[in-house]
Amino acid sequence: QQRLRVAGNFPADHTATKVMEIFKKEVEARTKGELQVDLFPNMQLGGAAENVDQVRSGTVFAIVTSIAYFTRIVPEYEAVSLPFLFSSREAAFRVMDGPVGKLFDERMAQKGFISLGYGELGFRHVTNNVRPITSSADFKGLKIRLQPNEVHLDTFRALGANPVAMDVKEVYSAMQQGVLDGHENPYNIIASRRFNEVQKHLSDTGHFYDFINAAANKRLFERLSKPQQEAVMASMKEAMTWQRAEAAREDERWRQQLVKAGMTFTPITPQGRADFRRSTAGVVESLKKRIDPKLIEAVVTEATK
Amino acid sequence: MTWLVIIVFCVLAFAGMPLAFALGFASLAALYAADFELVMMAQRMLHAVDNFPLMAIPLFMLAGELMVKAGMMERLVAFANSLVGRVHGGLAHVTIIAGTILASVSGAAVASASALGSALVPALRKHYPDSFNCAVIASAANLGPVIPPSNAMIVYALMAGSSVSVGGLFMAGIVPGVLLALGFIGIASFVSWRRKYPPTGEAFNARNAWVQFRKAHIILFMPIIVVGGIIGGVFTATEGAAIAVVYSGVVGLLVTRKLRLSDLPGCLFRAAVTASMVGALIALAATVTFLLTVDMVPQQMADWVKSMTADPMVFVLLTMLLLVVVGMFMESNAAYIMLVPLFVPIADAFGLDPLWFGFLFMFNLVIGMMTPPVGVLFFVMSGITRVPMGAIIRESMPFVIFQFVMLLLCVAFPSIVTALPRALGF
Amino acid sequence: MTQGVSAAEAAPPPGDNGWPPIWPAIRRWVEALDRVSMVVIVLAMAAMTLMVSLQVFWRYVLSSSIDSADEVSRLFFVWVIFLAIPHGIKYAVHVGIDLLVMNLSPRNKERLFRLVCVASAVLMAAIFWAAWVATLDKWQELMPTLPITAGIYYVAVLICAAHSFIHLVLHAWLGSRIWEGRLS
Ligand code: NA
Ligand code: NA
Repeated sequence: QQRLRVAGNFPADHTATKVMEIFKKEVEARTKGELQVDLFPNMQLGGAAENVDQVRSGTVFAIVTSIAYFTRIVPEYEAVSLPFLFSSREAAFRVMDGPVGKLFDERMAQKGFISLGYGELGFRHVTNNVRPITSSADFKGLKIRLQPNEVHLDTFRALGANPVAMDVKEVYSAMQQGVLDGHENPYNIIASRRFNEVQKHLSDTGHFYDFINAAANKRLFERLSKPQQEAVMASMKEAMTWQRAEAAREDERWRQQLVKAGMTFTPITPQGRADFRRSTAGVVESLKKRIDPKLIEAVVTEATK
Repeated sequence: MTWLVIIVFCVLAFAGMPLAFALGFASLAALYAADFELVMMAQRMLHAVDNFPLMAIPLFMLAGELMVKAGMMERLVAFANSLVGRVHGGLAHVTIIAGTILASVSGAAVASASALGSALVPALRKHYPDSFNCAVIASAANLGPVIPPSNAMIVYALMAGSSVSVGGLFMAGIVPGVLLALGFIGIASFVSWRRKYPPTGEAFNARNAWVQFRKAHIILFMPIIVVGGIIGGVFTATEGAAIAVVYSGVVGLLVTRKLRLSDLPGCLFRAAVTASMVGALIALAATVTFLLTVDMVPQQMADWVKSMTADPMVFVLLTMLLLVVVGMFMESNAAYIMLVPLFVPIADAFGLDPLWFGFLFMFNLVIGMMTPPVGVLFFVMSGITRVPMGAIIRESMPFVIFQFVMLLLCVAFPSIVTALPRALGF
Repeated sequence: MTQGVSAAEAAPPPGDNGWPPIWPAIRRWVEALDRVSMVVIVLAMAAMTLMVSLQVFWRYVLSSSIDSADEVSRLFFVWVIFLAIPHGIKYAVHVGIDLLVMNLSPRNKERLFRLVCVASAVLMAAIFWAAWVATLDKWQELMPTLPITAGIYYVAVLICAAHSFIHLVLHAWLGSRIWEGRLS
């Protein structure tokens, strides 16, 4: 009998945490109890950045987190964070499950990680306290908090906003006090971090599509027997398959909950979205200077197939 | 493994090992016993410290250093003294009121204690014994997480998931916070009267007060700028600490002209070394926390409480009792992260008011910052004044007991906590 | 260290004039090391304050933002805290419980002090090893918005452990009296 520790940084009721629970049940059943999984969701073993360090050095077997925490380990991940890249979640997973995903797996393996699969964090949407957003002119001068990621920052600069890099722990009070005008996140994160309490306007900008991912320590993974390795892979695949469907189902429910909690929802028209695309068309060019342009083209081709 | 941690920690701590190192050594022993990889220790230490809001600690310490070197605190205290010089414990009142003002700016008790301690101790020292000063400052600083904004409440609400609103929790803290401040003032008066501390100044005289005000007004602007800047949305509370540093530096160099450029390296260095005491503690406490979590100690505690009772009130009291013990031994942020996700579902199942339970939970752990043996505020004050821990703990007892009385009142009369947020629609 | 006893009651140090003949040479080296570390702390502390204030200025006055302000200021903060910990040992800043120790005779107090220093030095050696592995592991990762390795965060822990180790070994060897100076 062997114990595997799996860590996560999402709240208890998030589908990413449920992924961990399904993974545990499946692994233990498939290996007839040879492998026992201990779960540490909800930042019990520290934040996501620390969990990544723990997996890399093998203190923890695997994590379920967002790929944002791997973009500085495997910079190629930035290619799937380009603005307005995916028109649907099906397109997003077509890329991750196809040849591009294979390439990501190789890059992860080179850095000592086994990629166990991807799920949905969701389309990211802008909230703010100044005005409803319908076209890129509405972004003008808004102080929007973004994750520290160059593609993200470039995108909002291109839209005319004033992107601010700020620690997420400060964001709630910063928006309450007016230090920030707004921020962007998937509906479920806006709700679970309660940002709706301090934000008025919500639009379905869907400017980035964000993935959750599961990754294991390569050395620990390879120490498992072949059947155990297969059990781990299959269990996570099953968990992620469930998560993708459930997250898609839940997404609209989360949006409605935000509206019910008092946010004003302004949908983006097709013209508005076309306007956003035009404004941010240059972002891809600056990314091509940092990572292999062939990979970016492959991602774009696959995404728009 | 948990017992090993506790025993090794206690033996080393009572042998006089600095508490931070005793925590570190205890987790080292547990790591070895449980066959863990050592590298985890460095990861815990780094990530515990690599935390933006903690930056307020050295920054407020630095602001305090600069205010002292710039002669700003002398002016402030002289002005306050011209107002309450004949009142028993007048300067202690000034400290507590300053703490209340600071609490409406700062979200963390440790930062408040560093700011009040480095700024006020040199002045207070002339009138009261240092151990008393430490007790008053630690209590005043403990208003920080009770009166909004509060980092503790933000962390609590985050860990509690969807049932608690940060805004509601903020509002819940206002009434108990004000009552605490009034109670502290009462205790300080009583102690000063009993011990016959001499009055700290002349009888009130309007002309003298005006003269002192003219000298001090530039300093009184500082909380206005910092509070105003935060409320007005110019900067966050953590950034406010840096603005306080810039403001006191500019006033010291250009207005009071007592601060010289050559003083700066010394101020920067002292603030850093004083802050490193808190930093070492946070870093090494994190290694212990990790091991307790892996050992499922929080889970067992929650299960134990749940198995004891089916009565909601008994559950609340048991939780409070457990948190008193947790507060004695643990750094509070670690406790929120481990325990809130376990206790909130039970409280919800019992049908308890989430704001009420949340406030009680948080307030209890806030008091824990002033309970021995691991009382973070005592460490900060002892670090600033060099007063031994034992003396500070003794002097703090009336203030700590009063806080527990307040906690019991909040348990007995929930409307102290919930009336304001409910009235405001939370 | 907290239980550092006053000069008068401490056990007499070894050697004719109090210290072993090699001590002045060691002292010179350690003081030079401390000075270098102090300069880094002062610069990092100033840079941290400046970075946080500049971010406010940029955002509020210039309606812009420094992309790397958050991570760079945290980096300086981490360096400030970890580099200052060894100085905290030198100036007896790290607090402990002195209730029981106070009742010991000066000689026993000094013995216990040295023992505690040995234990603390063992802890620092372990942390050094841990930080070394962590630094190597992390080296391949870059900081979020800068093309600099994220391993430099761990380098601060590494330096902290090594520098603390030196001070603790000196205390364990020569007792609590080697640094007469106080911080304030
Ligand atoms: Na506060
Ligand atoms: Na305590």
